[in-house]
Amino acid sequence: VKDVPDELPDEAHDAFPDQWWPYPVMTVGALITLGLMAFAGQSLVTPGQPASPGISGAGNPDWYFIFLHELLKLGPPAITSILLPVGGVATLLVWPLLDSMVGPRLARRLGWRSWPTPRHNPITGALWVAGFAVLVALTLWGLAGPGICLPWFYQGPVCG
Amino acid sequence: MKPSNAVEWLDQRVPFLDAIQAARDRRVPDYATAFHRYLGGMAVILLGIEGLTGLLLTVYYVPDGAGNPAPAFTSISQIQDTVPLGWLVRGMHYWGAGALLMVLLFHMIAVLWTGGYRAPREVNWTIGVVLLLLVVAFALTGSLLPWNVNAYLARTTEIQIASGESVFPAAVSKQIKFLLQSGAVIGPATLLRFYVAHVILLPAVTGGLLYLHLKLVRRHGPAEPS
Repeated sequence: VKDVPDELPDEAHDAFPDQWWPYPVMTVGALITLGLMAFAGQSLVTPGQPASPGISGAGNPDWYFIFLHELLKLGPPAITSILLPVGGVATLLVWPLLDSMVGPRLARRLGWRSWPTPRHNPITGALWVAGFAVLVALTLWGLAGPGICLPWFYQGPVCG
Repeated sequence: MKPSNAVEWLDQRVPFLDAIQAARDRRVPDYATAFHRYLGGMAVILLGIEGLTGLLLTVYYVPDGAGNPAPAFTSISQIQDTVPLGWLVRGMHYWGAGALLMVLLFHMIAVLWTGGYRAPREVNWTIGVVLLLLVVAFALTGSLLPWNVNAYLARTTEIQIASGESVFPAAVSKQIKFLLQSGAVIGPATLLRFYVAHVILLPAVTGGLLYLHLKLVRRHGPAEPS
């Protein structure tokens, strides 16, 4: 198996040292940044109270799962805990196939000459921006705490 | 520069000098120096830091959730408060995990936005998404290990979600739950299960897929800007 692509554009340069030097710099930068965060954030990682099996209540989720905890409040569990998360992950996994199979057909129908990448595509671009915006909004809502309540059609107002 | 006798001796048995020379002689398109092209490399660096700090944490961590307070909890408290520089290693591991997830998300968004997933890179995109899911699994399994109240309660909710408690028939949900937590409630067996996944299973799978991902990245070269 070759380790280089067949064709290179005219504007090319040697990988060494141009493509090499950023990595040691990034490594040192990451070590220093994480070290400073570990020092400054010691109070945030104290273990707190020990767990004992069987305790009940609501724990604070880690930031990357806040959206999932918030999503649960917005609709029937079948949709919010299964359909949307699994659908989102499945869409991500097969996105290249969807984009290459459905995209060109849609482009022909719309009279477009080609099916651009999301960066230049008002349909897929808007779809992904909206998707990520919802994730960010749910996360921020969860971080804001239970003080912020919104009117909602499913089982009345919901709070963060 | 002429390699020393020791290097030559090693190269004759485990060839590596040609690979280094090929990597040095490689030419890359100018557009490969764009900032967002380094996010994947940054993720690999953070993964390395997570591996190293995680290895150091295993020296003192005791994956035992029996008793109150359990050895798992007391060993974390010991790492944090007593072990020399334990706070630093644990802090770097904790914040590094968050940074890794953030960098991976930005990496994925950049690839998605610029069309870097398009032919011939479709399979590598899918491998990348699986790697992101594996890192989420790393974070999920790792966050139970301190065995404190908050970790316990948050993981309880997430296991309820994953088992489809209020969606699937009770028998199905119960089986999924048993598979994840090895019992009716999260207990010492769950902690051990998560620990094994965190330090053996997930690193092995992630290592293999990461090798494949990087091999394909090198094979295809940097994607042309859209």
